[in-house]
Amino acid sequence: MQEENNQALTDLFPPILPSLDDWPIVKISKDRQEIVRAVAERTSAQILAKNPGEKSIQDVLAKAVYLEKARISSKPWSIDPKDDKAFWDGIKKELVRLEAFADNDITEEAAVLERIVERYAREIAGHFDKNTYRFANRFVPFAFNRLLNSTRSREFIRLFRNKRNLLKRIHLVGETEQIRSLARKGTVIAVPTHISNIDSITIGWAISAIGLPAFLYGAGLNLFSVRFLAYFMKRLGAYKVDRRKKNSIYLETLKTYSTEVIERGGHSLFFPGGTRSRSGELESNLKLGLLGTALEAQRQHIIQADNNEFRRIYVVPVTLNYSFVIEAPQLIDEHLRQVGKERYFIQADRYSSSYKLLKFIYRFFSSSADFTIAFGQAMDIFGNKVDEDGNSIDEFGNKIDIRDYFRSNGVLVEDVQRDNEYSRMLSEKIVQAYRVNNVAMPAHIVSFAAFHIFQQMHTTSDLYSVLRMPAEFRRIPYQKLLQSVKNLQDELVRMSEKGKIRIGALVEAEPEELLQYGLKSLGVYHAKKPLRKEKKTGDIVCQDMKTLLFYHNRLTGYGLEKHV
Amino acid sequence: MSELPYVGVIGAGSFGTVIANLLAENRQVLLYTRRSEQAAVMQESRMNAGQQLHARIYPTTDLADMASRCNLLFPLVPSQNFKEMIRTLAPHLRPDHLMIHGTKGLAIRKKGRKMLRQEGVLPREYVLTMSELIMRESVVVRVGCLAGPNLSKEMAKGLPAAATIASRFDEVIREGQDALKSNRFHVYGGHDMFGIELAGVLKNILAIGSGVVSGLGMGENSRAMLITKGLSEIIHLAKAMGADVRSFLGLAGIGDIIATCTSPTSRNYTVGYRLAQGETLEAILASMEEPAEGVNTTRIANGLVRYYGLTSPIITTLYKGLFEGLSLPAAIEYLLNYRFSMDVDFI
Repeated sequence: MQEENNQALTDLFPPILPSLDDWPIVKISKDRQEIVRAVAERTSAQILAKNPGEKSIQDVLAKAVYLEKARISSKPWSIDPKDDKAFWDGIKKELVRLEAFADNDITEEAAVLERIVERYAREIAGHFDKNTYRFANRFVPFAFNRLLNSTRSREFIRLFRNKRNLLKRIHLVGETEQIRSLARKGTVIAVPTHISNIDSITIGWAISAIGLPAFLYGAGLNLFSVRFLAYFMKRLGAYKVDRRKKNSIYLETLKTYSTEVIERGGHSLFFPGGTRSRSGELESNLKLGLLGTALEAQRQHIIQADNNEFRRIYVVPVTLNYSFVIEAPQLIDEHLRQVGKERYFIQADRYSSSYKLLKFIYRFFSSSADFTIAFGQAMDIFGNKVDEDGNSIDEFGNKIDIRDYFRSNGVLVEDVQRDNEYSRMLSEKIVQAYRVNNVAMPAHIVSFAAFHIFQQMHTTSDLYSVLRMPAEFRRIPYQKLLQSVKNLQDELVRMSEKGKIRIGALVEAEPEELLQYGLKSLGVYHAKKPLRKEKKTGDIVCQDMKTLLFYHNRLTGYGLEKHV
Repeated sequence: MSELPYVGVIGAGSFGTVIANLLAENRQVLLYTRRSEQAAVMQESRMNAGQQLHARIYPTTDLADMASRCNLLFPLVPSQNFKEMIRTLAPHLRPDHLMIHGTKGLAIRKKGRKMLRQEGVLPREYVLTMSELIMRESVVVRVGCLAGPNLSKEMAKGLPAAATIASRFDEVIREGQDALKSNRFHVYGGHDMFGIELAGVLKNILAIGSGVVSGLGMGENSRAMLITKGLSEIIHLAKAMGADVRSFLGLAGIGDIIATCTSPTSRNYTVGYRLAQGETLEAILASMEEPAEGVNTTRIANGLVRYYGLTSPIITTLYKGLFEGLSLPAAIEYLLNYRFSMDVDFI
């Protein structure tokens, strides 16, 4: 079964680089020492340039020491290196000595800085182990296959046999051919939406499923504390991102590392939303830091090419959607607390052991949940479209020389403020792409309709009072919901024809079928199912308004309200 | 002298000529008009819109040539011609062009025009500021706008003035300031381009209203009330459109309101004044050499107000006075009897 599956997959999307030795990530892993050195040097130089003068660099160091010592005492993790405290104590002592002797010479400060940066760079840099990859690559589809029950897996296989088939549970849609083609020409940066911890696995699988080499990916250090996962992540090119470390030296090192590996042609993956979407909505505000590293890498390619052809970087927005997000109840709770400002909420680390995490993954894949992966159109680093040859084009199809973006009066000029603005513009384009590549799934449509009906039943528009609606009122006659679903369905089909949204399988089926399927697949394994058909009356009742809101939110912002 | 870089001014109206003359103190200026006769007259007489042209101003009708010679362009054409202009220019533009526009109007997309005509409602997505229009129709991203109390007639006489260049790009502000620096023109910078564009655009509604107040001889107290309450309305509208409203307290907002709402040399003020004197809107517009942006802006603002469901009695009443034949005394009576809610509720 599994062999057949992999075979079908390979037929549809043969690997673009059959030999692992040719993969950028393998080369990057091989050059790890060299990269750590390069990152350390570059970062030190950047920090020194940004903070000229002895006093100013001492301030940067002092701030880092203060924040790091605070981190060590307040948020220690078991995976922190044993010598963490000793290292920072040493730096502090050194700094005290340096501050006492102002000599207008920054040689010694620079040496201290470099020690810190090199330590960080070594911590961040990832490995890639071919054997682990081969194993994981076999294991993951196998797990997908096994965990979905037997009838499901037949559908799953069909996915690989015929792209146009009804891809009932896993939908892999969008510009897959374009990405495959661009990954041969330049460096691809995949930027998926983020809603579940499962996303890393989903997107990792999807990348391999469409025949691309593995992508570099910055994973939260907390995930490395899960031994089972750490084993794979350490060996699959994940680099470590420690969100506790907020000091400027660390952040600069992290960005330089990302820039360096992108410059070396390493296809990379960022979740630009930063964290999982708490509300269930599509991301509307993105973090610009890592996007900026891709821009910087593009700028370096252009400078180094010195008026010759240069390597290009392509950004590919990916929208991930599920009919069942295991964490939905917790996520929406956190969202409502934040918005309602009831109290400050500290997120608990729910998947801190291998067992819990495995259970989590198992529950997801055994839940017969639908999920979709939609690859959007690739764009250049400024958000322009690209043509078949990978050249940037404007709205009217004219070629754009992207070197001009970095020029002033005809000369390549570094302008940090300008580059930040470009990253912001790119982030807006990515947000737009998320919207048009969002896949309206039956589960989302049904929850959107149901929640909106509840809202209309309520006289006030206050969300919190709608959420507190007494259980006896939380019911909708079947026919009423069916009508709303049908209206939404009509509008969504219209919108999808105009390219404003994507629609999932079944959205073009009979409304009745869509509703049934939506009800069945929506949040299947939640303790309290958001919507349930009551046997006695045939009414649709809601058991959990907050979770219903979460799934409803995936379709907000399209003006669908008036079509319910 | 020939080493000075070229900058381009698009639109040889009175404001375009003022700006071209200012720029010519620091740069060589290509001044574009689409009418070749006008270009010829300018070249011949060295005069335009009643102003002497600086020796470093070169009239032209060739946008392609302008785009290739100038990195910095100042489009200063009326909003109704803006789209046509940018479409003609777009094929010659590159991402390293800088554009600072000075047009105090809005554009409506095709579908929006239809909705406005049929339903009187205009959704935000169909309205474009000039900077949005530039970015939509061309590859230019380094966009800025120039706004402030800049009555052309005063500036043409060489009287001192100040303005703001707003752009998200420091480079645009810097380059614009360098090109325009003069001891009679002080240029400030700001990053809130959207807010400053809206301030410059929406204040024209108040200028028309202020003209009406003068035309009916209602006195300064009435004018003060109209401007203050009108300011509150346009701030609420800008807020609904997602702007940072602090810019309304700057040169492009309050600054420009004081200038245009009290000066008979303002076109928008004149429209209101003559309307109050009993002339028809058609007759007034037909007699003006350059369009009064405020007329169209009032129509758009009214559509937006209805779209957002705002309460904006001044905008609505002016709209009715301009387009629906509501008599102005009746309109004023309505406003005087209107029960305004809180005085200041927008900061």
